[in-house]
Amino acid sequence: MPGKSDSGQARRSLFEREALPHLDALYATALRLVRSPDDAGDLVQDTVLRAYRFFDQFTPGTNCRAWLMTILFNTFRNGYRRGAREQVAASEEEFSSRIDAESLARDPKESDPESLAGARAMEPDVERALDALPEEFRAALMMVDVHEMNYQEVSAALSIPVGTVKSRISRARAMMRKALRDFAQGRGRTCS
Amino acid sequence: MNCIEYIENFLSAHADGELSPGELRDAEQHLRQCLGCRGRLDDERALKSLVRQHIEMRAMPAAMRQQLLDALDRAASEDESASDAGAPAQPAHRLLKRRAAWVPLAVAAMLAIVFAVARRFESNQSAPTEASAPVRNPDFDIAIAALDRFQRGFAPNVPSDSAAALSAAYARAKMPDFIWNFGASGFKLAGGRLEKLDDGRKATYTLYRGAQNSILCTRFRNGGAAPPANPAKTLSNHRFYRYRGYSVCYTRLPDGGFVCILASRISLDRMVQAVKIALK
Repeated sequence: MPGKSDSGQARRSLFEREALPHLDALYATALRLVRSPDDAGDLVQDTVLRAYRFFDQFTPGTNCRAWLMTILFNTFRNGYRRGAREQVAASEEEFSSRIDAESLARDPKESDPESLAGARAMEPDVERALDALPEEFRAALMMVDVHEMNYQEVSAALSIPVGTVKSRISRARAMMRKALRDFAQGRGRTCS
Repeated sequence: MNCIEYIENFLSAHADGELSPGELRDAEQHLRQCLGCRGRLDDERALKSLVRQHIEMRAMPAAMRQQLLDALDRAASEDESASDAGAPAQPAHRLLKRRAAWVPLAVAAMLAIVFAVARRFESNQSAPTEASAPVRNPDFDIAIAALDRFQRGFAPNVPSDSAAALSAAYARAKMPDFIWNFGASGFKLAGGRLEKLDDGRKATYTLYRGAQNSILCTRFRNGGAAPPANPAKTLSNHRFYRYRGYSVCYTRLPDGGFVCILASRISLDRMVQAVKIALK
């Protein structure tokens, strides 16, 4: 059946062209979700095979990375979430209340961009601060800041309203800022 | 609008470019009067940039990538076989290494797939067919993965102000120091990187940017392994291949067991032409 084979090859080629350039981005995100490289590899493989199976549902010309991230996150939620072990950070409620207090009590000096420039030399701090966020806050922040997805795309990927994306991003950044400052002060290095 | 309202409802979305025109107008009006919130917006943007800079795009390890591509090959083949055998188009398979979660299959579909896989196995024992999966080349996969990574973002990590400076940096690292000149073909030197592969071998990546595409030159030691078979074209010791939608030029360097792999999305003919001109 040469016709079918040709069509299969064309589908495969199109999939490779659209999806495979995003493998590293998927892997980087998966690593932040499951932490272990082996689990991240499994998660990405599962994601890519699902994406291939449902590739007919992808609209060419739209954001393929966002589409793959949606599948990645759904796959993660449906089979890779690690339950109690995943609660590295505080619960979402506790986290939220801490951030409310944090963001409203911010000293204008802490808004000095120099304070972040001071943290720039401490690369592991950024990863630690990100890893300390509750999982869904971490995923939203990765999608916006690292993968340059817009709020609408993150909303689709995480199945949450755009308003929730907005509040998660805002709260996640406030927590990141606090964590970076704490890490720097813990080393006896003030940021401002 | 007061500061609390701006911080709570506008700040992050402002930094992310997600405010509606009306919201943006209100936010800017507040910032005109409030030095503190202007600082907060700068801070928010700096944090955003800091996260992006430091959460490196970790490359998927080459072995893991290969395993995934193999699984995709099997999925594609089973798809076609099942389709040829009249089975449902959706493949009923799970290929994960450790997390196989088997779903119940209809007996008829299972039989069709077993039959189809057996048929494919038989065909693999004879000559490969056009429909069979392309043979993977780990060296090519390294070059292609790097090209994909650098197309999303590239920052040199060795002196790259000029071809001479880059060449000297590679020489200091005891790596091949020839820098291509693809200028006449529309590709300018963007810079070079010195990295290590997963297995610890040193690799250099030199990126040449064109208006729409790039050419990446990847070099590492492969111990003098034989070049891949069946090049589409050959130009002295440069062998050209069409590989997974990319054009690849493979050259075994005369000294040290190094290989030089050019990879790009440009057509193979254009790559051959660019190499030909650069060698003149």
